[in-house]
Amino acid sequence: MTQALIAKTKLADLVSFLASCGKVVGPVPLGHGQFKFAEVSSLAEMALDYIPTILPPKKYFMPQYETLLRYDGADGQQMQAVVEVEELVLFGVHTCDLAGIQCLNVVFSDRPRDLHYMIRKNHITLIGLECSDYCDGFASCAMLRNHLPKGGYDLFFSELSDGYFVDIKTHKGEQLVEESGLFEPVSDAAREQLQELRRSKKQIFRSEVPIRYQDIPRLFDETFDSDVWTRIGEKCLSCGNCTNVCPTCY
Amino acid sequence: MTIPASLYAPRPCRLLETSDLTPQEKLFRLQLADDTSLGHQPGQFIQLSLPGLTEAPISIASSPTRGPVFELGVRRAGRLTSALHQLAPGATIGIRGPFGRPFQLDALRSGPLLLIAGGCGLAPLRSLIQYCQDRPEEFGAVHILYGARSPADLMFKDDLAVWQRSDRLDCRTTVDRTPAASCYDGDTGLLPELLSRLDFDPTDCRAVLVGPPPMYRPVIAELRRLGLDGDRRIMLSLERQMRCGVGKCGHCSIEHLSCCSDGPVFWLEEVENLRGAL
Repeated sequence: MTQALIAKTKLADLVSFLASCGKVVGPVPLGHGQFKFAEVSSLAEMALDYIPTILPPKKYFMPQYETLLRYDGADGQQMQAVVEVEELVLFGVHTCDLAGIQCLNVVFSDRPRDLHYMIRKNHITLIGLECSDYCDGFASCAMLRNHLPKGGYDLFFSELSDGYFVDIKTHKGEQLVEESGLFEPVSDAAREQLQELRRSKKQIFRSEVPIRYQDIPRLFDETFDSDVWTRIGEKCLSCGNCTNVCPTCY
Repeated sequence: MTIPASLYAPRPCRLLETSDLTPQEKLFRLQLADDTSLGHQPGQFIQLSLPGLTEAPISIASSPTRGPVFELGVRRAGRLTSALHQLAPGATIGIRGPFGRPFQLDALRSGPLLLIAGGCGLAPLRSLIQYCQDRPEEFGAVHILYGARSPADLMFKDDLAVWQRSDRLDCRTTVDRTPAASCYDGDTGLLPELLSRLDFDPTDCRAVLVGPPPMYRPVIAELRRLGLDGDRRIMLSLERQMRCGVGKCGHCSIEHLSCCSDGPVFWLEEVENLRGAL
């Protein structure tokens, strides 16, 4: 099975099932229109219509603090490399954040491999969620062609009228579908609804800035000396915290 | 969970000996705690660490031809290096590496060499100079040109004296200024001036530059004027804030290049047109 359906009425049961198996993290409201990824135990705690969270889900792949090594000072600084891991399901990740995680995967799986990242990644199950419309007025996902799913997940949910069309990408995702017992085979009507959703998105998601995708590297290159960077640089404290909020920085 | 290896795990080293190079710089003789060889090549660097403090990239100042003991010339500049300067022989120091692209020895064997260093740049270049000393049959004439701010700032004075006495090496120093009471008998002025007075055959000559950023452009201009033009004639080692050492973290990026893994040694033409490189 590479695709499945789940009824909207069963989504709460799915989250409860996942929470009974281990830690589940999803988008939760913080108030004032802000959201964050945090541990949840039920669907009701989540806000699936969230805008990008304050910190991207990258924080579970690259924690802001982590123990890399343990050593005993009395033992001549003999270091023991360690990885802090926990089984985790990341629920409701949008395609923009999935794209960010895919960028990180490239960097850290490139030789020499970062074993800390690679091992932790294998303990995280990613469940993506498709945006049917823009989440806010600052999105630039269409310009970067990340408004559509391009892999990097175990399961990917697209909302239909009564349920979710689920793309199953990995063996881990397939196991989850089978063990929960909450999914059903895809119907022709569901396939048609998914195609309609994608047609509709073609009309909604247009490149937010009037430039061509393939020109972006050249444009950055040619505007290296622009006053824009001077103005932004004047505000910069060189604290490096921007790398925490960026989904692709490391 | 524990893992067998990590990119970020330092190896313990024993501090064997220290000696003063200048009032700000010390030489540290080290050996890996397991007595194995570091396995480095001239031009590479290590990440040095002390427990509770940070890491810092330090060039290896000795040649692999000198056995498993290796040396670092370190300026006292911050918390880590100040703590390092306080250590006594017998202390344990952590290192990661060796990292980076070394000097391209094969390309340096074809003709005369101009080895040009400014300030602390003599530390990595010393590794190459020792290599040339130990394998003289592999190299042509070697000219060493070293510039510092004052006679007191000249690093590796004992080595300089040995190199100046050597029949195989031509070693010259220059300083920006000489105090009145100094017994310094080298040149005064900037490196391009010293270079302009050098008598050498530019045919098949290669130059290697290591020094502070303001040194590069005037020295490169003088080298070109003297005939070192074209590709693979001038090799340089760039200094950046390396952190991970393996090309992942981006701290030492020069456009698309990572100084720590694509460098720190580059041919001039590889970096000359990259913004912020020189």
